[in-house]
Amino acid sequence: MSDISLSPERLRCKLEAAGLQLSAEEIERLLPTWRSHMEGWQRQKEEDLGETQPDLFYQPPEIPS
Amino acid sequence: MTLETDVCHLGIRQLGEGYRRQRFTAVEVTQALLGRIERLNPTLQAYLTVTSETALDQARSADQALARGDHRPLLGIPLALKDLYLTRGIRTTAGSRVLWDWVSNQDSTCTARLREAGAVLLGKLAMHEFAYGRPIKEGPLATGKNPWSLEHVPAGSSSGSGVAAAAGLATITLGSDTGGSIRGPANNCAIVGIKPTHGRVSTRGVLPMCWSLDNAGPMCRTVEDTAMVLQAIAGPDSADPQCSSRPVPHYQAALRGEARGLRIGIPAPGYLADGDLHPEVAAAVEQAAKVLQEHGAALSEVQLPRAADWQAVWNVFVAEAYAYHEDRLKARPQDYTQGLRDRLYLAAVYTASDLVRAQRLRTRLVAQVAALFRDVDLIAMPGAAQPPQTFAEASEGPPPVMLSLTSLWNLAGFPALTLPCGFTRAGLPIGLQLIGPPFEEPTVFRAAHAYEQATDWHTRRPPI
Repeated sequence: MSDISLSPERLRCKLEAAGLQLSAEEIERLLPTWRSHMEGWQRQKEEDLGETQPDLFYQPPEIPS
Repeated sequence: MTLETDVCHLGIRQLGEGYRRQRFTAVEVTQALLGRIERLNPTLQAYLTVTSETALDQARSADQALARGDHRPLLGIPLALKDLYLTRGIRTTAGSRVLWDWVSNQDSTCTARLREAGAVLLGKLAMHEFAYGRPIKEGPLATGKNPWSLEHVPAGSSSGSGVAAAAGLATITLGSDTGGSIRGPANNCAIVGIKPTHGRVSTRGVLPMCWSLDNAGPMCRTVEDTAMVLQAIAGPDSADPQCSSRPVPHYQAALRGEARGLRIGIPAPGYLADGDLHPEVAAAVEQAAKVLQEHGAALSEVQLPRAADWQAVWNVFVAEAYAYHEDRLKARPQDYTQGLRDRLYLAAVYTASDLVRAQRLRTRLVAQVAALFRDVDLIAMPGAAQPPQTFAEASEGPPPVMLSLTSLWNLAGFPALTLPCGFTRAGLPIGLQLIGPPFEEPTVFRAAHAYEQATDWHTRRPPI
């Protein structure tokens, strides 16, 4: 997994933001399931974003110079 | 033949008839069940607490009431509760060291209603820690062994309820279901379990996992018993703000043993990833649908959302469980098992924005599945995608696919019942899940009863 957003460091930061200080061993143990959850959730968020805020994906036509 | 083998697998109606014809007494039946528990519980680990004295006292009271001509249907019927239902004066552990010696001074609404109905409380049942921990094979927190194969999990979190009902260690049990915790053990133990419509049964005094997804419900050996217990526990409760004020219909009236005219939707392929549905499960459920068709139901395909999608949304709602445990988890993490700790930590990392978005997505999912019921009365699908796992398989790796086939109906709040529909070549149970629109428990029971009457799966007993 090369995605930096799903790195052990990212998970550690998220847990700390929730007030949880976990050991490196505990974070390693959580990592595979967390990645699986986040990948599934990311897909949902993108689909939802596409429906509710389609303008984010709107590419304006190029203006001829 | 002993009284134990005679009575421990009888249903509610058969026990009631036996009492009223004076073939046996409630005390004799209770003693037979207590003897069976004493003999088999060291192996099956279904019970965390056995309440022998309470049970015998209640059985004596039941016999006196029977002698006076009392006709309450659950009078003298042996009952056991998942150990998250509060029981006045009897410890409630939630399967956790956190509450190991905790004794509540009140009953849950369900406990109180079953007491009033005259049921005999045999004890409190093993469960996955706080309804979300992992299965545990041995030790004081053991979650119970599958009576069909001791190396396989009974599924959870109402694991002890599934084991006790299947093994004849109680006539009726209650479980709770947040993502499949009634239907999973019903599937794995070859019994019947219903997750009622959200709000149909009060959850006051039932320790929560996720408030917006939790449901209390019965787990028994037959559809009729399940319907009779739901009758006793369903209905308005002013102490539970989520409980519906709708009147409760007469569920037994729906048990006519026929499916004529029912329109049943069968999910089109595609809601699961390729290979996720075990071929023996697929074949058994297809055969079950054919049986319903032969008995007058009309089958048609319906398009379910993808299981991966609804599961991703369900996962976010586990933040509700984290909210419930947050303070204790931070103060006393060592009191939780590693299995539950890990799962709660994973729920802690979702943000407020995630939860708001999950609520929107949930509303859309509900609208999507509600629309399916314009064309069908019920949906029939597997209770689980795979046969029961071994303890070794279940104790590591991500949650099983099984959760994915049940949690949609917790998000939607619709009633869903699982009953046995076959066994694998290895002798492991396979379950059929029947889902109806909100408050259509009578239709769910009607189809389940028709299927049960047309087959003999419910008559098989585990090899113990």
